[in-house]
Amino acid sequence: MRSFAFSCIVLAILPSLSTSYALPPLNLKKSNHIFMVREKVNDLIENTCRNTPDYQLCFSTLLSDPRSFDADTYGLGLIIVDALKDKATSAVNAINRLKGSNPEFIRPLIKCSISYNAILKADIPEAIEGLRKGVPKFAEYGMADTAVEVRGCENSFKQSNSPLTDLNKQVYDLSIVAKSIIRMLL
Amino acid sequence: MASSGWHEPSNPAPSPYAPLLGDDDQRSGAKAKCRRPTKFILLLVAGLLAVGLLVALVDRDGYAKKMSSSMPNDEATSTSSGLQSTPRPPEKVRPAVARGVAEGVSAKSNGPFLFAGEGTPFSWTNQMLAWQRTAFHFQPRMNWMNGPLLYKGWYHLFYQYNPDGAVWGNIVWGHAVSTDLIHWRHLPIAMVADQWYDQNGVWTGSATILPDGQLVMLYTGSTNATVQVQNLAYPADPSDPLLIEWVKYPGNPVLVPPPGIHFKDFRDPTTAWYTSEGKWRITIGSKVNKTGISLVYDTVDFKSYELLDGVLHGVPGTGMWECVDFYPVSRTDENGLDTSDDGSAVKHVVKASLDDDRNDYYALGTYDGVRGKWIPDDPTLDVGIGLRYDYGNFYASKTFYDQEKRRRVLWGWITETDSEAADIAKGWASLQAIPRTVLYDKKTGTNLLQWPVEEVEKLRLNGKSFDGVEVKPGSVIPLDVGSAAQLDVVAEFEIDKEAKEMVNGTDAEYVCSTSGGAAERGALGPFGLLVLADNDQSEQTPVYFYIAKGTDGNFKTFFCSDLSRSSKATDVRKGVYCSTVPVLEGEKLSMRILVDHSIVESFGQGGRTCITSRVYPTNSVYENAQLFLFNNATDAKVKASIRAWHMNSANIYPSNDSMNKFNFVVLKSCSAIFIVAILYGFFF
Repeated sequence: MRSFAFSCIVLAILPSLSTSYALPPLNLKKSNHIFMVREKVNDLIENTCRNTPDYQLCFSTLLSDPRSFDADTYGLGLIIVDALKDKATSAVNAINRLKGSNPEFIRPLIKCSISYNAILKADIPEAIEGLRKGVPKFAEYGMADTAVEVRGCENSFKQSNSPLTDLNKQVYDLSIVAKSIIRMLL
Repeated sequence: MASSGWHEPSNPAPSPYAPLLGDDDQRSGAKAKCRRPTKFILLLVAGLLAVGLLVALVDRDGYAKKMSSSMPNDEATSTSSGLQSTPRPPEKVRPAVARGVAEGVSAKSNGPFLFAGEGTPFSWTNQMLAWQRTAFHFQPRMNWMNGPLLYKGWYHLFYQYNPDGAVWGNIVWGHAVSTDLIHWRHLPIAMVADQWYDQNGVWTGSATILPDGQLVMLYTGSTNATVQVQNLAYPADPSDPLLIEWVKYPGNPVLVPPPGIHFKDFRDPTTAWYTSEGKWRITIGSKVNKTGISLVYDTVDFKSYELLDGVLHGVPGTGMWECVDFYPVSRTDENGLDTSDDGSAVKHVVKASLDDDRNDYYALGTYDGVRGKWIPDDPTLDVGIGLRYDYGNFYASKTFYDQEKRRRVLWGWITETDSEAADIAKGWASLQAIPRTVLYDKKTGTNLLQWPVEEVEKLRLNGKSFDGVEVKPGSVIPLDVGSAAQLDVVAEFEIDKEAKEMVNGTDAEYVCSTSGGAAERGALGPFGLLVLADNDQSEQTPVYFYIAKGTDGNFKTFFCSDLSRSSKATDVRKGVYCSTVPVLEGEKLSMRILVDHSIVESFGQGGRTCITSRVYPTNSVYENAQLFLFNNATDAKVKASIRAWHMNSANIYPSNDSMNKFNFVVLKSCSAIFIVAILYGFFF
């Protein structure tokens, strides 16, 4: 009877013990936000980003999303894909603005619309499905094709006077990072 | 996105497709009447039918117009591809990325991001894209492999299907049936994601036919929490040969990931086989860290299972094993074996689709039914590190046993290797290879033989032979076969024996992926055929042999498919696929190629080595596609004998548009009766 009561009490206390471990220390003197964040960053994010071709981009993208702290590798991949989706959406908005303001670019801009349509309607949803459901190869297809589509858009501007280079490059770089994270899951 | 209907150009020939009731009924149906109808009644009937025909035809055109207008119209340009951009100094060099994955296939067509100079910007036209659709391969919108089987005289193909788009997602079970593995009719979707245990996907499964004829299906479901589990389903009406309705077992899931197995690494149960203890046994692929494994379960009722200790087999470094297949092959007979067969005259094949590199690997070995373990004949050619079913584009394949014709038949899924944007524009993606029979190669004892099912030969028309053609080193000979986009070609080659003796051997390895393909000349190769080549071979797909002679005087023969110049497009995959192929003393070199628009399936030495390629030409389309014979060796002439047949289309009908189906049925019956009526009127 006594041992039973004892076990009950221990089991009741244990959960509260483990939760308190996760709280940040209250008496931390340093007020540097970055330093605090670094202390919280777990090994997974660092190791994952170290194995991508662009550590800085990977690290900063993941850190700026609070979901990354509790995520597994699948989750980290999803965060990068989300960031890519945001950038691709910005690219589409830019394309639409340019169609109005720079009609001399109409042909390559139409090509870019088609490319980004494929990225937003097919590649990104496929990558998200693949990562969410644990079939990473489809996510890899999606990210690899994103790179192809972006390059197709960029190369459709002659004489290298593309007004979309910055955005295209950002999307491209994120697709490479996502692809390398996905590779780790295979 | 509009449905994937595709129509033959205006001339509707009578369909070879067997009607629902089967051949027997059709033959016994028509009986000659004793009394002759008057010519007047006959003409009246013919006239009415002609009206019916007209209505059906007109509506069909309307449908066709609706189809083409719903395809997103590409950019305003359809012709010139623009000027070459001048390269600008890169800020940062990125490694080249080809669409797809590192398959050991060189990605020559793709360069770093900012190097715009690697090619002129390319634009696909609707005409080019429309040509890519195949004529006699199974291809719905988007598909993977599932549980193919033969039941009550019908071959059933259940395939992974996304009703909402041309990429993987929202997976349900598509369903199609055939009496001959070539002519297919689409049926309604067999299973949808309507339970918590398959809410996120009704994935791959396998069928087992029990000795009493009962059919059970085990399939993987992705639950509402994206956990991979195995579920049981069976036909709602076993007497329905078309197996249209399916019932999911209320007690699903029947299997959940066991301890130590990640919930995302547990999928694709196999067909069950009967053990000596009177139980059914299945295997399911998985992985532990980077070791690919195959778990084994026993069951008596397909509802509760016992996990065996250990695994059927595992190979370190191979990663996740998907679509595992396990089956016996006869060492002595020329027929397939039931999955439960065993004995000393039998070898067992273990096959896995490697998630890692998107290829299907197999190995021959010996199965220990008591312990539930399998060991390979040659550990250096173990599963995942040795032989592949196909050295090109071929994945997620599975076999089934055709108990009527006593053959084991292999299905493979062939993905697109073009851009997603092109797939969206053309409205479909991926297809099935032509089904292949699988046999143990008694002559070599080390590999399987795959060969297109004999039914595909029914599509052959107008055969042409070219016998004993001498091809000198460095020459290309056109073969006049007419339209070359739908072909079945069989070719035999004899290389000059003297040249073979005289040539000096070399230690240099012929490495396919870094070779120059068919353009790289060796003393004894390459030589073979150019398919989907235009008049001046600006686009060409060589399928060829390359003989390498070592310094020890031994020969190694390679069988290859070279996509590097298959298309001027810059957004398609253009590597070189190849493998060594065993050639025994006294054998001539032989190849068979099935060309069907954007797919080329090639078989070397009777199917010892197979290569499937997706080809997307921009100019070698429609009447421009031709066939050539070539010999690019420097030192040896080659004698070739070729037979080529034009291939008829298989008229695979979609079921999405019921109005269209109705029109088509009306069209066919009207034309048939109309023609008969007119003829009767003429003769009597």
